Amino acid sequence: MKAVDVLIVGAGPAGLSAAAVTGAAGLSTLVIDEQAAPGGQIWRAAEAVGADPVRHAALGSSYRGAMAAIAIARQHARFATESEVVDVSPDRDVLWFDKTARTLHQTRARAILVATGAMERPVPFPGWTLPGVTGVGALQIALKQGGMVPDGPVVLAGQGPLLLLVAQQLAAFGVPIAATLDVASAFPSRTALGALPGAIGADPGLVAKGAALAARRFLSGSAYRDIRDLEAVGAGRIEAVRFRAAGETVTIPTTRLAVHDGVIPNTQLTRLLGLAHRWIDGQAAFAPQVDADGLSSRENVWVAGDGAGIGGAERAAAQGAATARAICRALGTIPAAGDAPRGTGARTFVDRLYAPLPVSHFAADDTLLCRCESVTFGDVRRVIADGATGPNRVKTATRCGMGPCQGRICGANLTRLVAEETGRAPRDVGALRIRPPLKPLLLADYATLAATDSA
Amino acid sequence: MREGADLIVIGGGLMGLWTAVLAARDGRRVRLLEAETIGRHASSASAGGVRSLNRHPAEIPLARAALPLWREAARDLGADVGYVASGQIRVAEDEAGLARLEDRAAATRALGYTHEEIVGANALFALEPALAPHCLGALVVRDDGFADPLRTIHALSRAAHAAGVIVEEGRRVIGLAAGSPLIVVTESGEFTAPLVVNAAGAWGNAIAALVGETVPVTPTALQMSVTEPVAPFVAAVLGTESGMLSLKQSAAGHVVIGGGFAGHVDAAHRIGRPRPTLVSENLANAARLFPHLDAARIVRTWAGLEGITRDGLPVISPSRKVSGLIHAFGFSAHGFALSPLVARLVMEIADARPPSAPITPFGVDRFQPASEERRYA
Ligand SMILES: Cc1cc2nc3c(=O)[nH]c(=O)nc-3n(C[C@H](O)[C@@H](O)[C@H](O)COP(=O)(O)OP(=O)(O)OC[C@H]3O[C@@H](n4cnc5c(N)ncnc54)[C@H](O)[C@@H]3O)c2cc1C
Ligand SMILES: Cc1cc2nc3c(=O)[nH]c(=O)nc-3n(C[C@H](O)[C@H](O)[C@H](O)COP(=O)(O)OP(=O)(O)OC[C@H]3O[C@@H](n4cnc5c(N)ncnc54)[C@H](O)[C@@H]3O)c2cc1C
Repeated sequence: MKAVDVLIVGAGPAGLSAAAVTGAAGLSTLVIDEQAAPGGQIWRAAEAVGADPVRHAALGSSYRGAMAAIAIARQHARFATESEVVDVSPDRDVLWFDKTARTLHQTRARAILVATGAMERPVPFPGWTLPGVTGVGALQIALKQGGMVPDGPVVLAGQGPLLLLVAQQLAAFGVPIAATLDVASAFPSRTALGALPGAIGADPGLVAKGAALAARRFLSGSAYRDIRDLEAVGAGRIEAVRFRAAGETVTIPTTRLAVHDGVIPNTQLTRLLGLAHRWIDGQAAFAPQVDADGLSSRENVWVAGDGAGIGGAERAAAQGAATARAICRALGTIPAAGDAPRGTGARTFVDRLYAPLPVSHFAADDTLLCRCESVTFGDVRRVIADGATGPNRVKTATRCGMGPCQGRICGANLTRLVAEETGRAPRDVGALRIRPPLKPLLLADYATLAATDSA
Repeated sequence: MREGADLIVIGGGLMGLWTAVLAARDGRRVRLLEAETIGRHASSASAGGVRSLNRHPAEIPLARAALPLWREAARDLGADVGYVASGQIRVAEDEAGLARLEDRAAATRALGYTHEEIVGANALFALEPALAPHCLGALVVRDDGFADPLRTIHALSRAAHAAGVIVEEGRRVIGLAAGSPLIVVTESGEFTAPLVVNAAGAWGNAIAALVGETVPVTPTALQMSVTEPVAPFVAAVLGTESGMLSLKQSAAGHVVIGGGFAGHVDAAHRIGRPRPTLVSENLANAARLFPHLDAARIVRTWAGLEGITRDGLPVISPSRKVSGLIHAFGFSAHGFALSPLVARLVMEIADARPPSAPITPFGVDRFQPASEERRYA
């Protein structure tokens, strides 16, 4: 089995800045990312975007600092892109699949940094699995990856900073936005406003940027607020979106609906590792429990970036570097000096301004919760009434979370639904157990491990 | 204050659940104490094979007696348990393997059993046309089958509820005191009953140890893999003489692959994890029999903790130290098939009725301390 000092999962801002630190300190460092190129979510396909004038003009501002971060990390670490980490053993043997070469590898690491970032919170509502309905983030991925522009007007629904950003990016690509459906009422809540002074103090730039984005969107035409009963209708794919606003039912024909309710830490790998997690009320999500250095509950397993709790790209990069310095010290080398990451002051304001919707906000009893195994909200409610006490009992009784996505899509929502139905706190309800492989593997690819690994 | 019951079951796996259902239907007040959650360990990890094929001679009568109970299980429990009388097949991939299977069949016949049958290549391919052409023949039991462990647990837990069993999750038993009634001590409260059933699976020896009975049990993390649904290609449960394998296809099309490979045991957290190199070996065995599976996607692997005794046989036995205590644990990787029968055997012991299958080989006092066992070179 091959061995490295530091294995970093995720080549976003956190993983990149960490790789530069551990690599420069002389530790052999391998960065693995399932994307085709380094950059993570915010800097997805950075090198390609930089070389494409159209994409660069529309998206460029998000990519500030990307090329330098990637270049420095490349100088100090080895990269395996287009490669998925599918399992990690307790003694830090990392199982990963190189999708280009179609080979499965096992690499033993002295330290692991999980920098797997965030994922979009899935929002279930009637019709959410119809083709043509996606997350706002998925729409953005298509823009970033290939400059792929939706072939018609788009309806955007939900809330959150990413929704505002993508609305602006779509406009920059010349994509017409048929309507924006805001789940919030016109004015921020009192609790949100209460956090505003703190946010301005902590990060005035971010608050100003957010306000500008929000203002620009409000000027962009057909906007509905405080929408309810969101529904995608169509036979075989979405043909229209229906909802209630200001006491009336509105139907808007569209072939594209993109929905958003914030991003949450991607905990697939940290759950697989069996790390201790904490529930973050404001983000309505679990995140791994880490100390000030980013060390998890397991020896020499570290977590940094949005995967440790949503804090944004700038903070992810600073956390990555700080955690990498702690890893260097733990492995007995001396890292270059650096600054500690800043606090999360502005985040509280953002979390309160866009307080996550209840999981059943739009969902009816026959709405799908688990799309892989076709399990509905009603199915889950029935087995809870039958005595299922937590996500894993629901899983064995309904197969919820047993499909190819390994509960990635339904897991966080299942915890919240069980909490809602049983009147318990999500932190007490717990989470689905995650089984390897994190991503499905062809049997032929898995069956060659013994052969390739001993070579 | 201690709460009383007529019978207390320790452990909410298949053995404990099925026993609790039978006892409660007999009119007993039953309390089931489960340390974690129902079915959390071996029972939900199980491959669900209902096999009399290639059993240890001591277990053959139990496995045969359990078959009709599986055929009745759905009606009995009022819910589908996914039982299919699919047959089980152990193929020979080379001449030496075929010779071993023929010896096995002869030995079983000599004991007076007729359920195992040798079939040649033509009959084998008639049964399973998708098998790779190098297979030479097989040992077959036509009336064996498999069930769905998750559905079985769910059906049992509903039946237990309906029969009035008090099921308590998160109640770990930490003490057991002799007397009439017996006293069962948990981390949060004490309970009494004249009858106590130790169905604590891989930890059954810890319960036995509370009353001074020593049983060598190794918690073992048995590995499984499952594919996404694929088109139907196999009817029976398949194994081979050339490597560890058990393969079946669920009604929904998932291919469930196991065979006894042992992963990592994390004893402190009571969890098992598959070892990737052994998963790989297991999958290679599957693809050797069914080459088209190369193109199926593996969506999940797992490892469940099962108690394996030193001789690979379970303990189904009254305690020899404490009256009223009955042991049923250490099923050594093949207890799923036996579970409906084990519940009967336990209740027969409880009522001092004659057992419906011979249980003398499964006595709790059959193990000598390892140092006193004679070893032959
Ligand atoms: C869809 C989406 C779009 C976003 N777009 C923006 C944006 O435009 N602007 C912005 O400011 N913020 C955006 N964010 C927020 C984002 O989380 C940033 O704050 C930032 O990218 C976080 O940096 P990070 O290094 O923590 O993680 P990320 O940048 O998310 O990087 C994590 C990386 O880990 C990889 N990874 C995860 N699991 C595995 C695995 N098992 N094996 C291999 N690789 C793995 C991923 O491919 C990813 O490249 C977005 C978030 C999401 C979910
Ligand atoms: C991967 C795998 C595949 C298998 N495949 C097959 C197959 O194909 N065919 C077959 O026949 N058999 C198979 N088996 C074996 C079969 O599943 C088991 O023999 C059977 O499920 C054992 O049931 P049990 O109730 O004894 O144990 P378990 O299901 O493990 O239940 C024991 C319970 O006791 C609880 N407990 C432990 N200590 C305490 C305590 N102190 N207080 C309270 N509760 C306690 C545990 O939490 C646990 O829930 C397989 C097993 C595994 C793991």
